[in-house]
Amino acid sequence: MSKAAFTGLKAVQELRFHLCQTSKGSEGVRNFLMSSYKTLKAASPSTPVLIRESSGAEGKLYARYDMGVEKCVKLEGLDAKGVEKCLQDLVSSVPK
Amino acid sequence: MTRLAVARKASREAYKTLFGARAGAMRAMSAEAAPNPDTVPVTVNGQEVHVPKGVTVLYACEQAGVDVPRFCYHHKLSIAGNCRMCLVEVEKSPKPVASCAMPVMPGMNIKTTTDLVKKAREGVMEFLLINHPLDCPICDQGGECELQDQSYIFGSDRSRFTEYKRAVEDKELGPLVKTVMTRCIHCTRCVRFSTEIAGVQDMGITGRGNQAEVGTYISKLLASELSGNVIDLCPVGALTSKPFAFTARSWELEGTPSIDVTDGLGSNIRVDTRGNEVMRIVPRANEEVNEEWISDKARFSYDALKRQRLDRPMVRGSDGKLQETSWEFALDYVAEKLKATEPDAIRAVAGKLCDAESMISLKDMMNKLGASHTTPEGMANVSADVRSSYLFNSNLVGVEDADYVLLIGTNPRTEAPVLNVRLRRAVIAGGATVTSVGPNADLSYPSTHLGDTTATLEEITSGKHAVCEAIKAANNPMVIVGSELLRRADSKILLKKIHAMCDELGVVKGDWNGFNVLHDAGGTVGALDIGFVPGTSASNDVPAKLVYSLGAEEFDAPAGAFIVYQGHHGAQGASKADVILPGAAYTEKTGTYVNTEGRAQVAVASMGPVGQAKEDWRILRALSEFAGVPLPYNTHEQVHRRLAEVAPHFAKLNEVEATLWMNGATYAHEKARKADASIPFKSSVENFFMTDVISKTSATMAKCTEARNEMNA
Repeated sequence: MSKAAFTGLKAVQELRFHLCQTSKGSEGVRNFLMSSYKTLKAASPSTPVLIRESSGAEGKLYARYDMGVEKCVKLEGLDAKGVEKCLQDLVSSVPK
Repeated sequence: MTRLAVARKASREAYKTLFGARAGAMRAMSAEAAPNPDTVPVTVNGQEVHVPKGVTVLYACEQAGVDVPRFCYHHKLSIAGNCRMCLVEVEKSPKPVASCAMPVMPGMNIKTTTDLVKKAREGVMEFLLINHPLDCPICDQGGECELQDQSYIFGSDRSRFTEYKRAVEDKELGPLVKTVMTRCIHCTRCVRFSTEIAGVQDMGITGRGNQAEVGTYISKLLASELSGNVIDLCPVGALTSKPFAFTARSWELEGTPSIDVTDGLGSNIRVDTRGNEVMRIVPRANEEVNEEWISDKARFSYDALKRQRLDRPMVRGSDGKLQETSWEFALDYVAEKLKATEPDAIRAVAGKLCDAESMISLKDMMNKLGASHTTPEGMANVSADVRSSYLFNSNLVGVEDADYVLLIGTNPRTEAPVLNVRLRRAVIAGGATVTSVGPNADLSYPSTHLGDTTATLEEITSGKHAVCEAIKAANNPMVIVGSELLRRADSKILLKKIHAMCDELGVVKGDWNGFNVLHDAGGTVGALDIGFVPGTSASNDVPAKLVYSLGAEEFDAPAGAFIVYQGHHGAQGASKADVILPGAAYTEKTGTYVNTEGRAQVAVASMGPVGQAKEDWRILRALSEFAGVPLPYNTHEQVHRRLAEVAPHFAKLNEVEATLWMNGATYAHEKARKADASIPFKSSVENFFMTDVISKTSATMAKCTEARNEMNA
């Protein structure tokens, strides 16, 4: 995956991943973060990518756009590819 | 070896084999777990219980639910066996035995309700009372005195003693601990505490028999950051709190469970109030956090809650002076300024004592206004992305499992005295090695100072230093990074190297994560957890025109910028402000604080804010309404729900969540640059007694500083 995949990231003020440290449902989120966190940061070093773990937490991704608008998608049960797709959807659908 | 020593050793070893190094776990263990080859059956007052081999008779009695009176025995200290109050009868033993020092034998038949036991305890009590003054009515321990309580049961209603009582000269132990040595019953708890727990060899017993005295021999103050704990330990009124002296009786006080914010540990405290006034602060037991101890700063800085308080809204007038105003005017004024300022020129800084509720309210409001430049005080350069990069990952109890500790830029004795107790135990009882890159300080246990420069650290991180082999060879190596390192401009470069070293040298392996950050204030981790960091669009290119300080004392504000200070004390931060919004101190609001290991805990409000001050998140909620961006929460529960939506661990109070280690990815995007070699590593705490706005305002802490300086002069 290249930096180009996340070029839209600069339009997002902040990303928040929720996940469980061990659950099967969060496995995709964990795999995605382990492999792509670096790329995310390289694409936009100033965007906070908050990784918030808690046992039993449901896999979720929040994106905060300008003016405090937040969107959330569930990542529970998705694999790393699915997580990436969700992220790209959020990044590309900046609310006007 | 004497019998006592044998018993002590046997019982300690038994605890260790059964429960590991964490002695606290023993109380949680149920006696019903038998049959187990490691337990023995004993009978207490006819009831059979199974207890671990080698524990004491007193422990067996406790397991059977039988209360044994005691003065010298304390489960956190070594066994002294000198008060003789815990005498019990053991069948086939010719004399009553001191249960705190006697190990159990299989089939022992223990009796605590017989005439022999009663007579023995009454005898001990009578001897203790011979020389104990009858000053309970004017004694500060009155109402919570172990001697008083037990004399109701075992004391005689008249004295057979006709001579004068013994009188002992009072000792001067400094500005915190008041002594009335005539009341001392020589239990030696204070002596054992200072020697074993605090690690200062100041106290001891001089003289013998009737001439025995507890004291420091050469008059000097108790040079420990934990000295206040001897007040709790003293079973009588010999050692009491000097600032609390004659201010209240214990039965007038109302206790509220709270959390200490003066360091990063989140020690559990109880705030004792009378009416709308904090009278004293004492620890609550929490084995996983502070055990039973708190630091002197946590215990004694409360007098500042009545000094230099901001109790009404103020606005700087045209003459440059702050003038009283109404809440409505102040909020309207700030809201107009917020609306009129372009979002990129707004800055929000959260102070280090803030609760998570007020910080999330401020952040949400700022974000809704389009501003995203939010920073925690002094931590502008810290990444909040990965929790394991800024938390104490081994947990506080994990310190006792460590066998090698590398301190980087930290002095745990002043930054977190209660954590230092665990480190000391790891060294003294567990045989751990402590080395330090940073301040060369007396930690109260042996440690090796390696240097204080970035060059020394780089030598270690690159694997060239001699200690690397030792770290590699250790089972549970631990690195503790001080919060001052996080405040450095080159912190990310250094942290990148430290992270790489942790992976390289096995500091993080399997279930063990030995990378730890020790924070020095109660609000910093909460700020990082909720992501109180600059968003994508935040930049310093646009100079600040409006700075909103939520209790932050030190922040950058260019001349001419409009400054709003919301906080509880009039100090550095408030003096610069154009508008002051009076908030609540940590004892006056119900708030969530996250400690250095990532444990979210709630402090309950013990009283209302002073004057016209309000709870901080409510001020921000009201302000958001004025500013036209109303926040979507109206009750404390709703704010807390918002916190859990931002970071799910806020929903799990009092628990520590295991953190994800990113295997070097955390700082992978940071470019390798040179660290600033000209700045040596130092501790974030120069004067233990004065670190935040509360302790800096406290008169007691000022006295302590003076006394400490005099001692060192």
